[in-house]
Amino acid sequence: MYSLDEASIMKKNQLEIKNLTLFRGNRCLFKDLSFAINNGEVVIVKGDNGSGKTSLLRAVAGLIEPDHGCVYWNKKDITNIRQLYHQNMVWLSHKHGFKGQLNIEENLYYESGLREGFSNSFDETFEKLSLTSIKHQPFNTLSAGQKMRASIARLILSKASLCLLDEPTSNLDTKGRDFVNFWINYHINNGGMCILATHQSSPIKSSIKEIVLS
Amino acid sequence: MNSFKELSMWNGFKKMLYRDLLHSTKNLSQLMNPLLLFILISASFPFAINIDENQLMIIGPGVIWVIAILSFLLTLNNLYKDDMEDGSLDYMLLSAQPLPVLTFAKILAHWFLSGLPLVILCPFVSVFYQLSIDVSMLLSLTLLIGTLALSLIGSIGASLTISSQNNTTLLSLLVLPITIPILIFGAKTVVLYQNGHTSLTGLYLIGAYCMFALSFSPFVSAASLRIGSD
Repeated sequence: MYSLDEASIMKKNQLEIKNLTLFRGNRCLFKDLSFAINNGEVVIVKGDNGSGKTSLLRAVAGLIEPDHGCVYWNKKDITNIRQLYHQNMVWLSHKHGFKGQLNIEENLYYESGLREGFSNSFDETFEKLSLTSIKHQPFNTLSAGQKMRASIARLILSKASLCLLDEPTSNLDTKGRDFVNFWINYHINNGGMCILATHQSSPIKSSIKEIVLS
Repeated sequence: MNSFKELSMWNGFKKMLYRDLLHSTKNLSQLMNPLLLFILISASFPFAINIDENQLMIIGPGVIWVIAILSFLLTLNNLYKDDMEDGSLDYMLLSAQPLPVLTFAKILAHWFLSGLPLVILCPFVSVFYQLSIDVSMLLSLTLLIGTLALSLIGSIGASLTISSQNNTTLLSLLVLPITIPILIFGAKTVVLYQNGHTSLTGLYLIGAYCMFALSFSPFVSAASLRIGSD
């Protein structure tokens, strides 16, 4: 099993979203949305396609400036403590952010420069995600499911306490899906936090808050 | 000690530079196209106009500079566009490293693979214009400093236009006016040297322009990337 020996996960953290309002064009995606998430909690964001799940995650990550409201990490506005916040946060989306011509190992080697404490145990993680046989293959030759597995490898290796996951189980086979669900449960039980945007009902056993966007 | 090493900005800078260089070398056609354009236009120019050796020597530096700038402008589009499309720009923006450090690494990688090859090719291209060795070396030197300044300035333009769909023309329109001083001083320096004047004044001026661009370009690029990713 795992050894998440990362102190930052154990440290008490809180993410608070206050009165978040976001417009896309003239359409209001959500208005005055507030919630908080503490260690060991999961927030599941549900909604139809185009209801603003990804936009909400992007706003929480700090990629989009919301029209109104703020995101606070440990009571501090994230726009003032970007580096500290991003050190504790990892993002997973359908755009994997890996270079197509480079292989998984080269891509992850680059990622390890982007944050402190990025794990070196590449091989161990590849083994768990059945990526070992394809780790030297260029990323754009991989299948959609394999690409998602590579993204999940980054998630695990980054050892961040807050995970923002946009459809983490899309394109995965049953084994892969089981592993992701197992990992999220494991992460939460170790004091991590997750915000999960998904269509599927998720078998996460821990304390769950649900947000439904319409 | 180990954790300090991992924290360092140098680590992020180094890995960004390494990834971009590696990525570009695996994308050879993208790398070669502007260079081939540079060689082809420079080589065909003397054949198209029927003038004698002395006149060719006079127009040579100016023509090479213009072609270098235009072929260089073509490469700017790829600076952030690729990252935007495959989503790695998001991960760059979400990294714990200061963004200007990463943009500076990207600019430098871009210059290594787009500017430096032009500088290396310059002495060979000069042969078509009957330029003597010292003149072509000086031309290369002005291009060396000039293309670095262009990479820095161009990065601002490229980061400002990432969110627009068809940005090549817009980018050229935006960047070209700012690059005119480099073109004037770059070409003029070589012409002055050919006429027996000192080349130092021109070199100092392009150098100053380059340093000026260096002082703010990574920061401005980083800021406009944040806005543009919205």
